[in-house]
Amino acid sequence: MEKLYTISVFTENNIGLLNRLTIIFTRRRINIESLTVSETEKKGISRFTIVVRCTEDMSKKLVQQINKVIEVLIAYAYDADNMIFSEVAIYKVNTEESIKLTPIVNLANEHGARVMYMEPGFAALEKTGTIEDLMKFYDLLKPFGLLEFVHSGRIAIHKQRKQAHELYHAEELTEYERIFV
Amino acid sequence: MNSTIQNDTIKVNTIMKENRQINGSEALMMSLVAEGVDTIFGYPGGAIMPVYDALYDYRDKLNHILVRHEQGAGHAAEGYARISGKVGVCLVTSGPGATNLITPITDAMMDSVPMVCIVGQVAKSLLGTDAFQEADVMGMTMPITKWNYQVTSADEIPEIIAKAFYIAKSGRPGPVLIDITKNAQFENLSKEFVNVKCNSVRGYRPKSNYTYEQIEKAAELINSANKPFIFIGQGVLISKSENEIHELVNKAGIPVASTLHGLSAFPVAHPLYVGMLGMHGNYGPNLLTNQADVIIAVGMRFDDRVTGDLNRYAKQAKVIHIEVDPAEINKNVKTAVSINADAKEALQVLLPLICKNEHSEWLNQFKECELKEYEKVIQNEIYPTEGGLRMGEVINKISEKTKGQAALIADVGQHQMMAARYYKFERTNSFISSGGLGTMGFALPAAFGAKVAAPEREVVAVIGDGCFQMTIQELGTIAQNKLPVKIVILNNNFLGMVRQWQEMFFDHRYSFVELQNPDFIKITEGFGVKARKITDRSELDNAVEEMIASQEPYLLEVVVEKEVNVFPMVATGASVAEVRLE
Repeated sequence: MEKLYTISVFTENNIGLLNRLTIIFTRRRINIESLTVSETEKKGISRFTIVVRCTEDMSKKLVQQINKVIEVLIAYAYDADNMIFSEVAIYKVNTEESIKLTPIVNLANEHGARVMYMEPGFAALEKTGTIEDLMKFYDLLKPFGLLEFVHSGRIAIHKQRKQAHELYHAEELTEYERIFV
Repeated sequence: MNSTIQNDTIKVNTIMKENRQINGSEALMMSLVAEGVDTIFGYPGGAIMPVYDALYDYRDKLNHILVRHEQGAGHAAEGYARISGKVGVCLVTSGPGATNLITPITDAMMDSVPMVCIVGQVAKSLLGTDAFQEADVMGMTMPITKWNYQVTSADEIPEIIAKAFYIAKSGRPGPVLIDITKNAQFENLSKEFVNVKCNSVRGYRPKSNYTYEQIEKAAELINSANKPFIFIGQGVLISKSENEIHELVNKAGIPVASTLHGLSAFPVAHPLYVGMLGMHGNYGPNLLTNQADVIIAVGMRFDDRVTGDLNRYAKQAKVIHIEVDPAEINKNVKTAVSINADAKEALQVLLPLICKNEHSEWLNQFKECELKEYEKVIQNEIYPTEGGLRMGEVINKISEKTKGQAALIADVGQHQMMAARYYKFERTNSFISSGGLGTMGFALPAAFGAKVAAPEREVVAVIGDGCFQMTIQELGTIAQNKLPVKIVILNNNFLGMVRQWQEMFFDHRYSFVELQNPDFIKITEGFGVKARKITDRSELDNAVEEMIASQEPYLLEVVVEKEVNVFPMVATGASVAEVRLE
């Protein structure tokens, strides 16, 4: 059965890695639902968070292939139950009719969103949460007139206390400390 | 971050001659020598000229073979690597030079061949400007290399070359491409040249990952099996575990079959050797795969040419898979026990746990199949009494005359399958062909690459008339370097394998498979290579003898029956149990 899997990939921060990883999905005709990349708490190590819809078997095979990439330190896949994840969205709302402003701000407060920017004519609101939360808020704002909407890819960490490096690649961590401390 | 500091590297030697400065190109030469490279297959061009200039001073240390096309350089490096177990090295220029290497690089990736390709690139300042002979070689080769890297400064060269060789040859071997910008070739090193050895790369862990319990479980399955069956692949040759396989087969009395790439890892004459697996493999090994209760797969990857329809493949068997690449385990076939390890290491741990056994009843089933195959197929193929010459009988004759000791380099097609089926390999590491990619034109350059690596060995290339014309220009390389390769052209004036499929599955509609061939003898002689053509069975014995006796390169063209099919055959989508004898 296909469902969403979140694949976390820890890599060296090298040129071309993004291409090297996406090729693995492209040649298997698997669409990437979302992708985020940033440097981790460890200097020089990047974390890719890739969301794909596939079977459990395929998610395992993808992880095996990703782990073959030389610059990949470790990759693993989790389903939603084992991950803490979030996305962020920005909503540009039409406020030309000033009467709209109060209900919009109230709505933001009720739903844990914040006003990022405001000027006559429009306001930009920001909200974090799951994609379901973000879309629900989108539906609520729509009647006011949404000018633009954007949301990020998923960021995710696993539901265990230990750091990913400790869990999955203790040796690499040791080596890392040796090099960078 | 500078990626080179991530390697576990050791400074092994410092070379600083007469206090002179060393440029990137010379640093490359020194690094190659330090890696033990003695042969380079290459073709010069604008963006690699500084390296060729440096090579001029290293002619006594680095034997450069000038090929006629970069594809030839790549396949020659593959042949060299496969026969020697060392890393094959090729050197080409940017743009078209590099793109001409795409096919052999993919070939090496599919067939796990250790290769380092050094490619010139335009200067760093010109990257991305569509400069003359600029191509995004990094982007193009990412999916077909084990690793690739673009060097943009001379200082990087020693560490990157050490890393390239380490990655190419360790774990599951594969091709590595190093793209060196012209400025990096020209400019001087900012520091002293230091030779570097690379022993590990962070994140890349080509080490065994199994438990003793897994080995015990495997031994238990093997010891209690009624119909055990061993499959051997190229991993046996790469890990040099032929002796361990021999011991396992003898001790446990288990029939053993080989994949195409595993051929020659086990002597054909051994009573427990039952033949080749796969689409044109032997009847028994295919049919009985679906009857074995335990399959011990060593260093093979269950390619679709071996398995046929996966949904009907060995469902009754408990599969033990010994494999160095963890991504291959459970990829195509679900295993009962997987042992992620170098085959030699795993077998050495496993062997003491294996009980002495024999499975004569099971083995008899193979013998019965063998007899059936002999009567239906083999007899007529190797001992025909009428009609034109047949490919099988030519291969059989070569096998007899070389006593199964030659290194056989087969191209791709019907002749490849005939070579694989009818050469009686008695010596390990003796069959080289393009398996995974099925590259026509592979054999001629791969053969001279193999000859360079093992000049003492008889190297025989078996090539179809279609394949020969794909890299025919490499006759020039063979002639110039006086490489006594023996070339056998099996000429049926057809693209034989495609024709066979058209006959069997496309209602005899022979769509563009008949070739109007040139006069191969005149062409070959034009290159300065001895050649002979035979058309009659009565000439075969003498012609093969003459070829083997020749101390020079020699081409033998054998005109064979036009429309002959290779059987047995497991058709695409069929189960291995549906293997056809006719």
